[in-house]
Amino acid sequence: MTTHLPRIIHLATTDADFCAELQAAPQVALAERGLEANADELAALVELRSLIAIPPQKLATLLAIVPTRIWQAVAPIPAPAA
Amino acid sequence: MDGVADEIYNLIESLLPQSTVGSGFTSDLLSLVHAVYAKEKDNLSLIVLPVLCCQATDGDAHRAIPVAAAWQLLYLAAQVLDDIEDGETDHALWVTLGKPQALNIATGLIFASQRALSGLPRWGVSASLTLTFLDDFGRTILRMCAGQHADLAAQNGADLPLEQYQAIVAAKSGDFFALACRVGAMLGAGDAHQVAHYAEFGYNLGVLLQISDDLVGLWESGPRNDLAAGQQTLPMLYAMSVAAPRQRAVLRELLLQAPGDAGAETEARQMIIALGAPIYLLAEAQVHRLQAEAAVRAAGQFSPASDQLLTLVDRVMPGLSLIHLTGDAESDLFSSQDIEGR
Repeated sequence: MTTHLPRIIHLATTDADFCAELQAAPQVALAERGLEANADELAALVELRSLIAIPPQKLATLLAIVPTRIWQAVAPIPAPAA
Repeated sequence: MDGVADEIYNLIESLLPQSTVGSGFTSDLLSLVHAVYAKEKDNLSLIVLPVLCCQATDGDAHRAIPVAAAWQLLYLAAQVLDDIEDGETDHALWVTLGKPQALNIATGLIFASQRALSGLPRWGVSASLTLTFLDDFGRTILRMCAGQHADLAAQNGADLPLEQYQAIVAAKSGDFFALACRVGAMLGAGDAHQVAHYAEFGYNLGVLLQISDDLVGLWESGPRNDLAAGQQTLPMLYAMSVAAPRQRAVLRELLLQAPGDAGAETEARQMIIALGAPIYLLAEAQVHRLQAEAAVRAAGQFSPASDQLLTLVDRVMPGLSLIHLTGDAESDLFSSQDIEGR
């Protein structure tokens, strides 16, 4: 795993300008600060961009609620054909 | 699902000793197996992983039943041992039976797992492949033990590096789930590349499960609360790795006090969250989810079984579903009735 992903997330959490740049143009934002992300990490950052903008405490509250809600909404896996 | 799980658990029961001398041993083993079975029926269907991977590679699902039983028995043994080694009390067998008998049960489970594998020729698996599986299980158990050893050593010290924790998770959880998928796929008609892709899928699924547990453990109440238990898990280690030196010193002190001090626990949690741990865990989880999905797609065969494997990935970490919320994610969830009741 990369050593940059923790730094990228921490910077996005604590620096509003970087957070906005990361959402608008992730590759540019990372390059400007000398940070690197592999293809999967970049894809993850892009998919998570709306959540990155949510203040950490609010996101934590959302996550504390979500598990039960989603478990209840998912149908059981059907039987595999033997 | 029920039919396959029933077959797996019927086989597990048939592997346990019938001797009246050991009736207490057998009934305690069966109680544990039945308790897990009841839980699995309403929970993730991970027990069928080897069966699904066998089906996904055009194999005869029936032949994967003993492998799934062996893997499940090993999973149970690891859980019993883990609870003892970590001092875990929530639904832990050792709390009911005591440590000596729980250790004995775990030993029995490991050898029952070996019996499930050694009986594979009776299910139409060649002797050569049976030996390969026995060796694969043995090698994986040794890697898991090495990971657990490093984990136990690290929990007694301070400032476990994030990369070292990730290596421990890879050995303990990633390799274990890779085993289930690899041996399942080897029973199918796929080539070595397909087997490798399903092993890769299992590895990422295993890591994803651990990340999910670590995220829940950050705010879970009761004995599964990692802060109260003094466990070093991904949120804490991330926070320690990105905190400024002063913050790190404060957080280290709070983490030390958290097991016996609810105020310190709350303060530590707030600090970890403020440093971005929830979004970091989601990012790591999303990376492994993407890699798991890519592995199934790279295997090149699409079937109901491979679809079910992808469904399983989605179910492991429900928090990732927040990605798919449209509009204002906060108002979408904060406005719902069940939140008002909290």
